[in-house]
Amino acid sequence: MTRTILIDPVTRIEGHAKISIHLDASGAVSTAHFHVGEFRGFEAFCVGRPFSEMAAITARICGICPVSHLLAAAKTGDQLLAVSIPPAAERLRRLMNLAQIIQSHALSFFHLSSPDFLLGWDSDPAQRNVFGLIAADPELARGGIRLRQFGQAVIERLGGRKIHPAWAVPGGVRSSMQPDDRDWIRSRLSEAVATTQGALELFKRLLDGPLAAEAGDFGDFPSLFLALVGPDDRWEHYGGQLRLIDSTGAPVGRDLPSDGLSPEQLDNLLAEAVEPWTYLKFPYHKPLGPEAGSYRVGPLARLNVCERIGHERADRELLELRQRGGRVVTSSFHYHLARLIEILAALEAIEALLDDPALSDTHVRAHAGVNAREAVGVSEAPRGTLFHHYRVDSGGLIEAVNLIIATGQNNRAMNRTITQIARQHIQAGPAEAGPGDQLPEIAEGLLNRVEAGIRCFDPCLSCSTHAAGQMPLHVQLIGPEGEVLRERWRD
Amino acid sequence: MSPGARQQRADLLIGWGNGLRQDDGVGLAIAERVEGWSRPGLTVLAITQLTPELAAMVAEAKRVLFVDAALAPACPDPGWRLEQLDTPADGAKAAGAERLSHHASPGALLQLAGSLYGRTPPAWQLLLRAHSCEMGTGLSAATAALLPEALAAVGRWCGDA
Repeated sequence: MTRTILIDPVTRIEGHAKISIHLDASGAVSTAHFHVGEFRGFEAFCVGRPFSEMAAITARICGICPVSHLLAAAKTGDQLLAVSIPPAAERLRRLMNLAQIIQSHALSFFHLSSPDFLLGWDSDPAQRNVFGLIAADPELARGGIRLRQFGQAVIERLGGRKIHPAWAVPGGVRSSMQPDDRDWIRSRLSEAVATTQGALELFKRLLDGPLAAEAGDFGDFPSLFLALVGPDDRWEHYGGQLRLIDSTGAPVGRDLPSDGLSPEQLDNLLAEAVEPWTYLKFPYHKPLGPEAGSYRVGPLARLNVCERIGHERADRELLELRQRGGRVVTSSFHYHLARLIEILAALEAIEALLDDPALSDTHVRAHAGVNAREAVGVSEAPRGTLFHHYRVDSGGLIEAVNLIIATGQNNRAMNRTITQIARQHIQAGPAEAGPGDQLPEIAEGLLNRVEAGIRCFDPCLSCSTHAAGQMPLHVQLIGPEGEVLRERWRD
Repeated sequence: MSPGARQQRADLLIGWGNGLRQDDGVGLAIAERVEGWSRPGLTVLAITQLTPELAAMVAEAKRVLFVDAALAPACPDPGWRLEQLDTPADGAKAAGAERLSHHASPGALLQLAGSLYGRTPPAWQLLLRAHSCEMGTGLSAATAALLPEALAAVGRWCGDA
């Protein structure tokens, strides 16, 4: 006999989703599911389009991480052309990706998750949002906005349009960087670094105090981690090698090249499981199967996979992270700390790039015809490793597309995380309890912890339409026969 | 800001939506057409989502017009409506209904502008009925038919400055 608690939809993540918590006959949580009910369908939409348009098309899939799709599409196009892009183009693409990481992580940390951290899990939900944050810590809120503005402005200065810059193209980029743009970026770096370091200090104090428990039970479990890694095992976000490790840090299989990853290699590396209760697939490491082969991607994975970041201030923070969580950090709550460290790493990496004379070269694009009929492009989106896989005809028209997105790759981990949190925090009553008598109340703080477990991964499902608007939080307790035992709306 | 600078504030039109989901992108379609007018004193943004950093731009605007798609219940006949938005109340308590996601609502942006930058400009929203939000880049015929009247309304709004 089971009962189900539904939380529908999850707030402050992209798209519409819900959480169901399944109770066993004893009233204990047996499992929890993160449901995604929005069918993407973008792959089929792309068939028949010229591959050269894929960067512009796929960048429009998402208003949050357009640069990620832009770069993955351009890199796939590089492979179809079979060209090496000019050094300046690679540096410019890297610069844009770093800016994307900054703006995306800033939104996640400062505006979506900080209200939970600073205002408390059990605080009034009417105040536990960015406006409550402004009231509690206006400087932090303004700093977060400025940091996000900085990332967006760098993207705009490079790409010309703020949200969907169709600037990276197969073979390189459309335009080089102007000297005044370089000067502007440089002039803003110190403020951005100071904001990030201030947030890091604040968050670490919270981790040592009121958030200590959450750091331990928010999705702390062994899993594989997948990410790009650079030369000398440095932190990487654009090229390098694709590496999978287990939770002891041991490599799983051999590193694979991110540039020139063959379709066969991708097919041997990953497979995708499906579940009847969600449209979001569950990618896994094929040789180990759906359970043992489940893996996490994103900021925590990138920091776990690398040995060092390669920039002084971020490396100090990485060392501290490992002192907290071990060489391979398995608590999903530390995705938040990893995001802040990555913002710092990205700012230092931008500083280093601006000093690189090759950044100013005006030769930024290689030209060629279709020289390969199938290719895979890989880059690191803010939320994790992103794969684009295209097959084209001789004229370069798309015959098949597969996009493996970060949120999907973290799907199994998100489900494990909310299950763990639910088991820790939701004390359900006996399964045979009827309506109105001994059924457990579902406290606001408990609901928010489950939602916050999802937010650790900052999932993005923004391919959904927004026209229907935001829906209030809907919670249902459903009995074994499907009857609604309790129902609660939060609005 | 100096009085001189204040006099130079521009109107801001923000058209937003997903251009790959048919009528969900009607806000973009309006913005792109209005941008073609090259009207002095009007800044036009065509974007996928409203995001928090836009609050700074909103706070600096003389007036703001948000243009978006809406489902039929929010957009009865004739299928579009242009209305002035209430000035949002200050304070986190009053803002509770605005659940900022990766994207914000016009009300949330106006509240952010007031809370962070101390100024909330007068704002309007133009809603156009979305008849189909399936995958696709073009507007449905029914929504496309709303454009002439809606654009005329935008023109009048501009002229009211």
